[in-house]
Amino acid sequence: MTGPAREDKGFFMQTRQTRRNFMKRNLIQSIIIALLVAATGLVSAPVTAKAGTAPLVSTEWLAGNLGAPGMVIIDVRTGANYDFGHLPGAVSMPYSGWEPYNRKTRCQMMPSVADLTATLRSLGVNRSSHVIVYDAGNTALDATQGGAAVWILESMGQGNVSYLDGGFTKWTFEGRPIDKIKPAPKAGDFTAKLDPSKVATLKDIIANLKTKEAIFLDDRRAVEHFGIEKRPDVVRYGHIPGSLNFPADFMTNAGINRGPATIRSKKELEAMAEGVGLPMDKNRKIIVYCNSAQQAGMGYFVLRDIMGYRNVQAYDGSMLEYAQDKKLPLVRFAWGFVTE
Amino acid sequence: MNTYKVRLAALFAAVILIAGASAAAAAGMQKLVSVDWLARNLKAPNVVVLDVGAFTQYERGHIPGAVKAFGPWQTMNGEFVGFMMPKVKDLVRMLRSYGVNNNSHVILYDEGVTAQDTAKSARALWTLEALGHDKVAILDGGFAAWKQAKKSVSGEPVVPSPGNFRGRLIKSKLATMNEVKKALRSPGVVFVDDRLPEEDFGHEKKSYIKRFGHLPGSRLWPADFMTNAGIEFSPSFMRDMSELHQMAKGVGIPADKNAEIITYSNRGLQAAMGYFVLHDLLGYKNVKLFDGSILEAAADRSVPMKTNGWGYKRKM
Repeated sequence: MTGPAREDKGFFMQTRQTRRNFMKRNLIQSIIIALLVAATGLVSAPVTAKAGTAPLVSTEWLAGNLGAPGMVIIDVRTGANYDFGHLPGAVSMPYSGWEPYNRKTRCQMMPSVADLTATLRSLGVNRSSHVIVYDAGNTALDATQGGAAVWILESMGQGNVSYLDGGFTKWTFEGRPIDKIKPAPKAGDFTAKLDPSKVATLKDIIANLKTKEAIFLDDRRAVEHFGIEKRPDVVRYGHIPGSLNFPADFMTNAGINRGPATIRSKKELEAMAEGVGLPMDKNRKIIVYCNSAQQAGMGYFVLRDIMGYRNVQAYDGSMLEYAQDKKLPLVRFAWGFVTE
Repeated sequence: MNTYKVRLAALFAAVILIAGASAAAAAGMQKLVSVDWLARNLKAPNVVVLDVGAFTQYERGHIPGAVKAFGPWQTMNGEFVGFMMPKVKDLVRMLRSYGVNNNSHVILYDEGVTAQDTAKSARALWTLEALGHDKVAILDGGFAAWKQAKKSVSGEPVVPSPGNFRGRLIKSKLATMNEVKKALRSPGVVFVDDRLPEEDFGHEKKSYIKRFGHLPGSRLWPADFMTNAGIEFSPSFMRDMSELHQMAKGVGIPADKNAEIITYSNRGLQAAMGYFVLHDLLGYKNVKLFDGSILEAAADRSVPMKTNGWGYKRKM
């Protein structure tokens, strides 16, 4: 389900013999798969509707399950992109609606419980729905939009959420159908309820500066972490003291051999987690942050849903909020993973 | 009488101290000269100004009296696995053709727009120091700073009278592939990766590099971080000394100025920036440049390279 098939490139270089074996094996495999599919068909309940909590679904899987009862597909690209063509049956909630500007904190934050409830109900989301989120899937930054939407849905109490690997780009690369028809869903019964164990606030951050109970994880680019560059709307340079740096850009295969932004394999992600200095103990508390919580949402999704870290929060206000308070420490011209 | 003598002695001591301090400061600053300094010293005896930028740039305009010094400062080695320092005799001949003598005060400058430009001057500076010529400095901010300060520019090519430069390779300046392999097995040696963070991490690489990743345990200090290039349209001025000190600590370079350090990059250009900052500006005494850099190391499968992570981390 993860990543593009890696065997492909060697196929045409195989000898006739191995190729014949390959095809024979393939035939046997297809028979087995056909039997399995038939068997699950007999049990009737689609395996995935229950076990559909698979956090990452492939385009292939989704193509085979389009229109499954209880499934809501949400497109987080811009409204214009959605209008131009989208996955059959998908509804639209552009990313700007997931992290709108918040007047109180003067930065982008997730919507209020009431707003999110109303929006998702209007899109036909029920408590029992299996929500599939997809994004443009072209760049690593596209992928963070979908990742952050997954984080927000999970933080607001939606249990059954999946992310479409490779998004719209992989879907269209594979020549799968798109349409312009806007569904008119029946209002859903989704009710948002904030789960504070998944969302860190500024208060949590300030407390953790003292207790150091959680590990701070910065998912911005390394140049931002080091304090060389910053977004113009982030008012100060640098990182929260002692943060580790795991750029969200490294979590996908975007651009490699012109490929879409599929999530890197679990094996690679595990290696990276170790390589950036994260503990192997999956119970350790981790607070992920970035500029606006978009990359942090991706970090949450990858760490919690794919790698199985149990205690992950994303900091909603992130650097946009944190940097505003001049009393709070920021470290510049250093790697957080080197200095303390 | 006695107090007078004491006072005189104290005054004398103070004068010596101040003179000493300022001389030391001057010696330290000599490796990086400002546009104003160069404008004042352009015609000073023994000053040789070399333009190491692109030659097309030189023909459009250069600092008056500057010699077109395009190189080659680096050439492919016999095995085509590294973009290396040329043979010493070729370099000596080249430097003589630029009018360099052993008593010359060589000032190097480049386009001065990006940190990559400055790296060209740094590579030339390292080359001269590796040939035993220490009277060499880089013009801070390069040609971009010169033009920004509205100093005069000449379009006339300079034909220098040949110099009599003599030099030989100072082995302690250059790390070969074999030395690097040995150093990777000895925990005392500090490797510094001067490439981009994504290259160090093993997420990206240049197409001509055979493998992803970094040499195990490397400290990451991108050459791009060492200048102010592009910040509010600034020419590529070197960052303040205080910032460079802070960065050295922040990337994990030991405080001990005698630490054994080897800098590397893709092909020994950004690594020269690492050398220049560590050796000439911060005063580390044992800095070597890995001439073949990752270009050579990645082609040699016996060299361990680490991907999917940062090279040097504190213990959690």
